[in-house]
Amino acid sequence: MKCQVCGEAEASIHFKELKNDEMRELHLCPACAEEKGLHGVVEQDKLSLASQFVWMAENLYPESAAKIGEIHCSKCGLRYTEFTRHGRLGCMDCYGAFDLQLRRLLRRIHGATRHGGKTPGRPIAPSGARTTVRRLQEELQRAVAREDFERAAELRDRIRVIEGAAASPEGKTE
Amino acid sequence: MIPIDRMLAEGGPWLNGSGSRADEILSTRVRLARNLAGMRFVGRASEEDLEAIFLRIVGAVRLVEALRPGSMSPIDQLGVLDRHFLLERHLLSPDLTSEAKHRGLAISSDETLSVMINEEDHLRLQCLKSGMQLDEALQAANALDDQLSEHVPFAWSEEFGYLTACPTNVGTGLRASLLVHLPSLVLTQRIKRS
Repeated sequence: MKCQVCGEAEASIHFKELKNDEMRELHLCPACAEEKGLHGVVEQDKLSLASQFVWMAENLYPESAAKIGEIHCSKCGLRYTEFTRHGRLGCMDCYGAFDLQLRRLLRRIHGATRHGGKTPGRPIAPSGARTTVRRLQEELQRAVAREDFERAAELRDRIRVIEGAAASPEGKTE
Repeated sequence: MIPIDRMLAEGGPWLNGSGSRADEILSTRVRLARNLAGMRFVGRASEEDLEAIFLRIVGAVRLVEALRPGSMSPIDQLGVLDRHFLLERHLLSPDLTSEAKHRGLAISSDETLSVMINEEDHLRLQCLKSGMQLDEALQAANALDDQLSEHVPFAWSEEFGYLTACPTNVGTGLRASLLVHLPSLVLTQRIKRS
């Protein structure tokens, strides 16, 4: 496969991005990748998955990258630019300090920003009605976004049933 | 101290061939990443922080029923060969074979449950079982997590879940993996169906 930029050299660096259910691909030769500043990503520590996600998020929204670089965590002092380099947060308060940026990142990594798994002192498996509703609401939003209204209506009805059961005095779901 | 000599003589329990589909699936691993509330994550922690974290976790580990009978070693008291042996036994990560100060490893005597202290996160809890035993491994790791959480508060957010140094782990902090023997899948002609 030829490089999409120069059209001459063999493409050896391949990017795939999924955005709004649309897959975009980019195939580049090392020289063009370097020219576009993309080669560094490939050369980074391959285990640092998070930093690659950060890099992708930053490049999707370059207008705010400079401003974001100034943000830091008041508890541990970690600057956002340091996080983008290493992909590791400094303390639990970093999640608050970089809230906006992390939400974007978490959505890309996990497909959601709200935890629906284990909570301290409670088992992993049963998720509870509240978490189920939350998950269904997220699925509903996705269905609406892709204009799958049949699925959206089905999800809306399921949410109503669960919320109705939870509101009634005897209502105990899950 | 971790009884390396005894472990060497006995062989790895996760390779004993028990568990379902043990002819193709060598082992099952479930790990949970946890951090102590209010303490800096390992990569940003000072030496004093790391020591305080290490001591708190060691104190908690001693009280946990799931790791009894068991043993514990600070990594810097293990020789290089011993560390690599533990790495091959899947009880220690590559990072902990080199970075040793204020790092530790606690294991149950049957080697199925272990806790790495001050790895990328303050705690990496692990359950390793022979063959495919995902449910059993999850339950055991979960029980160890519950017992530890009675003695140390974990970094937690109602919205994001368990908070970890790397955002790829945030949430339940869980990773489940199977070690599959691919040649046996090829020989039994099951790889095309998998």
